[in-house]
Amino acid sequence: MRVATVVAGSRRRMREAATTLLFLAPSLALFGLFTFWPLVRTFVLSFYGSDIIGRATLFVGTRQYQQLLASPALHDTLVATVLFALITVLPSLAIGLVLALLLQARIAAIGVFRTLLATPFAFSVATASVIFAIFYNPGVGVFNA
Amino acid sequence: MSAQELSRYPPALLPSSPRLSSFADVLRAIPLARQYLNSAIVAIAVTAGQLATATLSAYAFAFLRVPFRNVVFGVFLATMMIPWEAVIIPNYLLMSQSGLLNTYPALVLPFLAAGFGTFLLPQFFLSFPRDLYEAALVDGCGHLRFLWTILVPLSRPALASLGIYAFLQTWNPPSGLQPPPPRGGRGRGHNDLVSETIVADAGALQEFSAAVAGAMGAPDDVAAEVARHLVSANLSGHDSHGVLRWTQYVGELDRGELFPAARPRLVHEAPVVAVFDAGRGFGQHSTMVATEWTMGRAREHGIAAAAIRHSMHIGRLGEYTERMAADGMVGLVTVGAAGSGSGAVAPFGGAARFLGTNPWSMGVPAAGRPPVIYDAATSTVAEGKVRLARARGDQLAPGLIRDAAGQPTVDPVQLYEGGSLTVMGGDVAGHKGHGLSLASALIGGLAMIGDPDPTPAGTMRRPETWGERLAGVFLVAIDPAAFGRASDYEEAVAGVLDGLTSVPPAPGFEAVQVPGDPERRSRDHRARDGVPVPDATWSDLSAIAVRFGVELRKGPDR
Repeated sequence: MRVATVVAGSRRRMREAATTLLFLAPSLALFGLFTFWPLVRTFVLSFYGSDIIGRATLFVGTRQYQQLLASPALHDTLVATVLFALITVLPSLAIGLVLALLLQARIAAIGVFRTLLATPFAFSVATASVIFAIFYNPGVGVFNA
Repeated sequence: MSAQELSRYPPALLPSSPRLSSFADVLRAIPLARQYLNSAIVAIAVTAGQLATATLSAYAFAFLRVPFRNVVFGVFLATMMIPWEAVIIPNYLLMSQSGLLNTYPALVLPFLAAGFGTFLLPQFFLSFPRDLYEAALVDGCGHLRFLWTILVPLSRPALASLGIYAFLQTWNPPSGLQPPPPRGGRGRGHNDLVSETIVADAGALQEFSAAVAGAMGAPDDVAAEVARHLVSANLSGHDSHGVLRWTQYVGELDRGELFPAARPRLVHEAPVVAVFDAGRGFGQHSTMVATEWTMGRAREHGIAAAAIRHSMHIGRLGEYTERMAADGMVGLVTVGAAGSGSGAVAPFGGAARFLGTNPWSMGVPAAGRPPVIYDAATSTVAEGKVRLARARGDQLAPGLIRDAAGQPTVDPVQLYEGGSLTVMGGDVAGHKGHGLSLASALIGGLAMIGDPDPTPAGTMRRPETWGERLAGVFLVAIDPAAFGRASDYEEAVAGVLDGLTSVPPAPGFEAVQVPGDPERRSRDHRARDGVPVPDATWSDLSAIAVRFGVELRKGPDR
């Protein structure tokens, strides 16, 4: 009797594990094929240089890492990235919180303000990018001219 | 808003005469409807896929016993921390090997699963009463049936949030996954993952250049000559002297250095010698005017020379010697500058800038074949190549530049922090380039004798710190007919060139070449296949097109 329960329990557990696996399988398969396997390949490729038509045929060891670490651009890039993250994330959190609180206000025509603030979501990033690219153009942009 | 209004500077906020035809123009210029459809198909497919995979995995995490739960959940979260850039090359290779490039699956498949949904949904599912789940299972309801008939309908708010998020992420690619919207003439939609270079038709680039010069105020003939010259440089393979220069010229215009409407003026004239004042107009035009003058006088007297003062950038020198050689003349052109702070080149043995890149060009006609065209700067490397290396983060070959202290360096950044270019010949034979460079400036400096307003020519800026400097353009035309029978000479030249090209190639070389032949080959090739223009340059040109209200197209057909 006791033996039978244990066997039934472990079989049930096996079945449940199989079910779980089936539910997770689609995501795991996609991640494996398009994220983790490419990540491994990127790592392997990082030890190779490419020939004239782009095939990774030339083993260069850690030379590309040495070049990267020796490049002054690396330092500049890291500094710029950290600054960009700080300058964009912190103020947008603060401003967002303040605006969200303001939008709770019980005043007339609050709907107008809510609509105004929600509108940028509808803007196409592509369109906004083109306009800002012109604004910032080094030659003729209004910000950099 | 009309094209003129759009290009007004500063721009107008409201159109004075609203019109709808702009919309029709856009639809004609680019396949916008098709691009929208592509975006919609991709975004909807990705959204549906992410909802499905995330719901399934979230269900497992919320209701089922997952072996090594924390590890597996960590794997899902880890996918959010791997930037797309880190895996884009293998993914491209994968799609390429599967023959899926330029298809919808290539844009959809990699994004069907996303860590974010598996992170968001279990939180919502866990707030679901567990009793209901157990009751359903006890009553014989299977997992899928419970999920589909009970959980999903009750989770619509969470699924809707995730759906909107996934859709926006796909519609507005956040990481440069999909290319930027087509600028100017590039009428392609979502279906190119890699876009680095635009191939433009030479005629279209020439029309654009002439229109920009005209809009800047240049007379039609000046504008046409500038456009012809720039595109000819592109065709010859010297993109550093081609349409890329428009950003420089627009900058000069805005700083008040370039006077597009100016025409060259003859300041002083003797039978075989002339001094021109370019009036800080487009150098391509003034130098061609001086070229024609020297050719006319050389035809008459056998030889003639001209010097040009107050010249702006004169472009590729080979253009002028080619013009002379095409008329059977031997030609010589140089443009030089020397003086403390001039240019970016340090003299041989020196640690500070003193010389311009001071190029020389010589052209010699040959019978039955194109002329010999020599055209080279007297620095080891062009500044543009160092700029490119800096942008890419590459190191330079040794011997090309020195840092501000005069130490040799391979770091391109040093050039822009007070460093200098070395003269042709480098550390080994730099005295040769040194002398040739200095000679260019001193001979070009003939243009500055008696100049009441001594402004340096060519490669130099306004004289804020005017010291002893010489600079100018200098041309010589020689008519071989003045020395004997021109045809005998041209045949002798052709014979020498035949001998030259039959010298057996050294190991590592294909053949001995005649100066000017690589440019001609490039011209044949690019006139047929188009001129490659880097995306960054194209984007600058597009902005210039918008500012001056001219059209930038990549081909004659669109």
